[in-house]
Amino acid sequence: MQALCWYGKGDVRIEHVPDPRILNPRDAIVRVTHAAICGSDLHLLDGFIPAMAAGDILGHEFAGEVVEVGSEVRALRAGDRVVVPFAIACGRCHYCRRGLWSLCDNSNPNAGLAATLYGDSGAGLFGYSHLLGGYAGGQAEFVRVPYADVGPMKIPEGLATESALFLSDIFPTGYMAAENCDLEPGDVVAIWGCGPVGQFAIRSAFMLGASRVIAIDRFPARLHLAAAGGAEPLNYAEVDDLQAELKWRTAGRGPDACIDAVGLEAHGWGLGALYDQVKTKLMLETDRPNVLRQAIQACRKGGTVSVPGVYGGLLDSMPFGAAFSKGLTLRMGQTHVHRYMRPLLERIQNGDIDPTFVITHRLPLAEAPRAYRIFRDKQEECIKVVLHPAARAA
Amino acid sequence: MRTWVWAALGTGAAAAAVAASRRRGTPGSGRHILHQAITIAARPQQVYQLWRDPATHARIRDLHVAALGDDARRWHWRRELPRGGRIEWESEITDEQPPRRLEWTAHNGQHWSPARAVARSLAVLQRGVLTLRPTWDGSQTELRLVVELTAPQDLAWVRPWIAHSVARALRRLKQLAETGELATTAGQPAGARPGWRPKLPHHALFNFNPQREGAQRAS
Repeated sequence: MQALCWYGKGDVRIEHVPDPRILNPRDAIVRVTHAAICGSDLHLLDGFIPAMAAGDILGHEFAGEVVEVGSEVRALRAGDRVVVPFAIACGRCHYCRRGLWSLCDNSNPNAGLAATLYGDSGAGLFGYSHLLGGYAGGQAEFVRVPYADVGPMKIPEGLATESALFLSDIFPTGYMAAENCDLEPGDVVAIWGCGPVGQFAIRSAFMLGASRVIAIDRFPARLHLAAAGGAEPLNYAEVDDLQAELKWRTAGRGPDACIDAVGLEAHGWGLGALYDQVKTKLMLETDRPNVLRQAIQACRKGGTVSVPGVYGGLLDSMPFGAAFSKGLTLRMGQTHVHRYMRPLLERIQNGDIDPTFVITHRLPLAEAPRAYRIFRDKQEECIKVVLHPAARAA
Repeated sequence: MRTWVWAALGTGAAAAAVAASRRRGTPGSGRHILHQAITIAARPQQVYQLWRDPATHARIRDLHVAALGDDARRWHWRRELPRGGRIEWESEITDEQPPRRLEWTAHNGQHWSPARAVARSLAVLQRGVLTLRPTWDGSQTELRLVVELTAPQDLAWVRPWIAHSVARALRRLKQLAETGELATTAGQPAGARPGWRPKLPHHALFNFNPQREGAQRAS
């Protein structure tokens, strides 16, 4: 089969690899019909996530058709259309039973290494480094899905696969980011990053009762899409002082909740951004947390900073004193996708939201290396790419 | 380049942390005590039965185990070494209080090298104590394992590897008890893996074998 493989910083290629096979009784094999490129895939492309190996198959947002199931899988059968959560969860451990699916105790075969670095291991993820399991991802014609009796959700008749695709990650991720803010009527939410997760966080914040959402980015196309979702765009490249601008827009209070939908590769200007650029180049810091600093600084007293953006290692010069002084609540973590798939599917079926609004590019899998580049470099006003393994390259 | 550095840092940190977090015994004496604990979402009886079955150890530790005699209190262990040869030893249960406590000793260790016709005796003694205790609501089991190793020479240099190996075995026991299977990626597809031949005990840290997976690549 064809698969998108990682070969180092900035180097992804389409390779011919063997088809996956059932390895455990609770596995299924899915023929991938739709696979998306996630913003967090760019952290892999840019070499920020540890323990990648040349040849790893990427991709954790995908949907398709079940072609084979293991002997213990009762909930699925060949022919079912499914969307698959990016976090792999056993469904039976202490954490899964409490709905903390992305903290599954059992799905990471390399839990020892993750535990040494992080104190404990979260769930294994598709296509996201050997630190998080080393599972082959879904930017391929076929993918093996472990614990298939727990994760994949059948796509109802009449609903396009493309409409359900983002239940695999970015819609639940944006939604959980907003839910973590414990919003109350009248709340103002500031969201850094208007990529796909930021876009879903904007719409989710309104679903959960926010009265205003301030969307912060520097790319006009993304700000335009944010405005289409009801947010007030704020181009940080056009203001002298972002903190002052946020104080102005919130009448001196600061946003009630701040969402960092950027993560470890923050750009921007100013001393903080320069500091991170220099320290990461010198390998004295692993992540560039400039947005997280800004969010903590901006958030009103007693507010919440919610972090769906991915961080991987060591962050320098965090204003923790500000967080303590203002009594902030910090909430973060990989999304417990399984928890949100069915409720958000209902919202899609009810017409509350059409998740395909975020798609700007539909391309064959064979064009995935180019798709990664245009997504990373924000060319062609790219916001979200959906890959079709069955389609032929132009 | 960055990922290589990360991997090296991670691997080094793993070894250092394992070594530091469970340091017991007397440095230089050849006596080392390892402590490992894990909570398993199963009842003590179930965990005890799993532990008492040689087939479980064969699965979670990737070695051969066979019971000797009718009472199954003595087991014979064999581990094939990656570069040929094998080590073998025997263990004997010395105290058994199902489903709360199990104590054993291991002895008669022998190393069979492909270069020598006769086995070399391994003068390593092992004593282990397993205790199981239900959590407050009885829904889970707190497993604690203490392994004491005694050898004429200082074992400090292999301590991190042994500690990692024991921790990995307990995680896999937990997987087996809770899910009925072992999480794995061995045998899954990957692209060619040129140049990925780490000198570190990679197979012990990552659950995949690049050479084996690379060999499966379609031509």
